[in-house]
Amino acid sequence: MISLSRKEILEKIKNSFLEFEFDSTKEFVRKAIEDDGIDPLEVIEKALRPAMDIVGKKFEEGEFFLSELIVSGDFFKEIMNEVILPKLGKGEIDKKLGVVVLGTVKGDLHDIGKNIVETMLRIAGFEVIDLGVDVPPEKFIEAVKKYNPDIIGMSALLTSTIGEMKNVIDALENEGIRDKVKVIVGGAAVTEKYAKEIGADGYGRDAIDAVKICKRLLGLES
Amino acid sequence: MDHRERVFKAVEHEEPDRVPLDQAMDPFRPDIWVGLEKYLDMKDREAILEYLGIDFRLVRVGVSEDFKKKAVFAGPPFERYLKQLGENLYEDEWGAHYEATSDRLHWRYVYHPLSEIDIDSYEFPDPDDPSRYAKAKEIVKEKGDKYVISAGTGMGLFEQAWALRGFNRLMRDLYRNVNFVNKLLDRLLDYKIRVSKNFIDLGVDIIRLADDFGMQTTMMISPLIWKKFFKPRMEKLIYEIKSYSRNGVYIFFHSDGYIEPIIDDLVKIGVQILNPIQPECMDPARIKQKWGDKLTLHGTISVQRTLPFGTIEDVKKEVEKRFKECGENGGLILAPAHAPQPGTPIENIVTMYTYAKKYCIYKK
Repeated sequence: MISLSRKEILEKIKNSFLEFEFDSTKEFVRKAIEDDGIDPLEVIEKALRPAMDIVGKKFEEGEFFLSELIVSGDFFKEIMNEVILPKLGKGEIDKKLGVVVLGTVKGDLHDIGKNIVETMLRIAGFEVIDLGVDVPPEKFIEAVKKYNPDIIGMSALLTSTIGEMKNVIDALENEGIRDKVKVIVGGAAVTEKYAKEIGADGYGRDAIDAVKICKRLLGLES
Repeated sequence: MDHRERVFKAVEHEEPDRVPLDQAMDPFRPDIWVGLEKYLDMKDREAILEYLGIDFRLVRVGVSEDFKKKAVFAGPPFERYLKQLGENLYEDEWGAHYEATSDRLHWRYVYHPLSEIDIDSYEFPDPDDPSRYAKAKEIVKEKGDKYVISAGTGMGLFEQAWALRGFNRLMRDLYRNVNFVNKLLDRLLDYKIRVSKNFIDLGVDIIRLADDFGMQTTMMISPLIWKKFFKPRMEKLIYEIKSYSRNGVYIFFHSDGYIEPIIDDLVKIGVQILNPIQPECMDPARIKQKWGDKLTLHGTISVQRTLPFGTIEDVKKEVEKRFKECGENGGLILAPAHAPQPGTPIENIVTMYTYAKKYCIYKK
């Protein structure tokens, strides 16, 4: 049998991931680490994350849809938990781009978008604290004080609840901690114009956008 | 021209006297009803619908008598019979659990029965139980001669499937647990066919199918996955409805959001009325241009911008624009693109209807 180069092995993992070949992808990852001695971090950085970047790109271009985003995000987490993390030392897991607190605002329960933002941020390397749905301003404030995040992200689908985003920003002002944290907003009812009006630092059209904005706000990407 | 003739002309792509008017897929919310009663100083809701010029009356599948005995009529935001499990925890007939938001204006699922129960041992509610249709029967009898009766068949195949299984879990199943999905969807299809036939027996005019596949700018599932799992079953469902009714009912399909990639297929499998064509997600003028000769546009009035945030003038402008761009040769029914949300100015809702009655007139 011809043995593949390291580059070819990583390429094979990436392609198999993008073909949604779930079982063989996992097997390729296992083999690459156990038999070919490839560093698990290298598998993440050079095969799995690039694969997810392509998923994100295809989503942006309209070739992939939410279902593919969810399934690949889930699958990424599954490979991480089942194959990669058991092989990593503790120090190696702790590297984070930044901390993001996420929640759907008070009165709103829509969380499909928020959840996919969460997954994409985690995959990109952020630590995410998810406050769930129907989150009142006090909860956001509490989380900012407790976790000292770089960014808080708020989601709303309903036209009747987007006003809560302003309430959270006002609460941050009142507590004197508005300048300690960047605020990003998103969700079907939110527009870029509205985000500006309420003084948010960023608006994301979708999960892929949200990751870009978080990176930009932390100066990791221009 | 009476209500029925007006609607039938429009869906047959002929010009009636004026554009027909309807409520959204979901009727007015209780808080909006209270607002309408106050604003119009009218108590009788039937008279309010008549005043607004609404040409349709809606019938829906009720719960069975058996379930009702075990249930309570849960107030806002549910407004339906549910089994009460806790202070803010309810169960529907399918075994899914619901919880209300802190302001009790909306609700969400907190438990999906097929997340743990095996599909083979899971029993569906009985779609043929006559008690489910008692209320519908009454409405058809009372109002069927005057108004067009739309029958809502409940959640569609995709929505009911994820309500039973959980959203992310079902998304995963579509790629990784295909046998399970096929089994579940086949059983749901059989259920839907039976519900539809029961409504046809009552003499309804329109069968409403509803399945949200769209989001703001894209779809929840890819068109390929839709074609693989949902299109063939919807085709079968529509075929059964059409043949059982001897072509006597119209097929209405609802999906929120952007679903343009599947409209061609929807038309091919027999959808005749498409709702709601949210103008922020799909341009109604373009939909009219591309499919207007086969498809009646139902909805199209913005509930994300104009109705909640616009002025009365904005509302009038949108009604005018829609009539000009989408009204030619009938094929247009105006309605809010979704049930107007709490806080929507009542005068905007009323203006949408009263102005459409005045402005959207076809010249003879």
